[in-house]
Amino acid sequence: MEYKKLAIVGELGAGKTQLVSTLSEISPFETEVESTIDIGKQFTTVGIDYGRIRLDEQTALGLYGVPGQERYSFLWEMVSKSIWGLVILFKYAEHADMANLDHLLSFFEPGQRKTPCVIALSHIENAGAEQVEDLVEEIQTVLKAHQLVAPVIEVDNRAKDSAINLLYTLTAISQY
Amino acid sequence: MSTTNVDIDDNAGLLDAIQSLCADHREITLISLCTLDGFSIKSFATKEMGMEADKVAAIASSLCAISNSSSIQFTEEEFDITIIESKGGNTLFCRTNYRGTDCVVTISARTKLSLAQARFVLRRFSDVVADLP
Ligand SMILES: Nc1nc2c(ncn2[C@@H]2O[C@H](COP(=O)(O)OP(=O)(O)OP(=O)(O)O)[C@@H](O)[C@H]2O)c(=O)[nH]1
Ligand SMILES: [Mg+2]
Repeated sequence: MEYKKLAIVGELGAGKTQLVSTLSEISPFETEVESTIDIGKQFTTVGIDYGRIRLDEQTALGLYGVPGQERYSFLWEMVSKSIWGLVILFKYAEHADMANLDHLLSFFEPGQRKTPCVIALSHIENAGAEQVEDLVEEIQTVLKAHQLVAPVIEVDNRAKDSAINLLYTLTAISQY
Repeated sequence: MSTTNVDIDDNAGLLDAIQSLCADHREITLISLCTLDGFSIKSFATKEMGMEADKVAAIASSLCAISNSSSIQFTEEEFDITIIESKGGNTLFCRTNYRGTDCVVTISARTKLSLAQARFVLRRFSDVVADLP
């Protein structure tokens, strides 16, 4: 059985823990604690999320979610070693956090390292089609600056078919 | 050197506890109290150690969460203490409660302080913190 690592990164509350939990075939390893400050939700990840899913008969995919908060970036280093693929979750908001995306791309360097990478937009149900279009365009500009060609797709981390579709996209681009 | 998100710097009891621990055990190079989600409440480090309080807090909260989840997987019980041993010294982590907030205590000491002593010191300090008014 071949084992591959998928890193799932992205800003606070983008849905990394949710995605690992939706995809994993084993009960996931979670490290969430109650937040002491207002971050718009009760729990936040301070360690890692770990889950596993079988891609096909020969391949298992280890799902590594890392905390979104910058002060946990020492964990990014651990996870960034020998990854097969990278999912960058991007949370839709009125003031989208492009600086964070830029930062993640600089750190994981999917372009230079030729790591298959997908940008997945979450929390988009409140956005109009035009707003999503604008956001995708803005994201493409950032990707271009990092000389990265990567699909920008929509995802609902809570829905299994949507999450699986994200994996399909990633496996498809990994063949090139 | 400390970053706070809870207004507790005024707590003389906490400062006293840290100072007396340092005075009693010169081998200690770091003492930190932070929240479970990684915010430093109070931290002390020797100059040679010189580690930023926020970094210590992030690492401590992370290790604590990973230790606890691991412990539950392996033994079905919550963890008590996490110990990192190295030639340069030992670092110990445990949980405590400070004025109603669940927290992590970190103590790092040179190897001259035996592991048994370090464990004892950690436990006693976390009890003192939990009893602070
Ligand atoms: N509407 C919507 N909600 C989502 C989606 N993904 C996650 N959520 C919800 O958003 C909240 C935050 O998701 P988490 O998975 O905790 O986010 P995270 O990225 O792990 O956050 P941190 O660990 O704090 O960085 C949860 O209540 C999820 O159920 C999504 O695609 N759409
Ligand atoms: Mg999380």
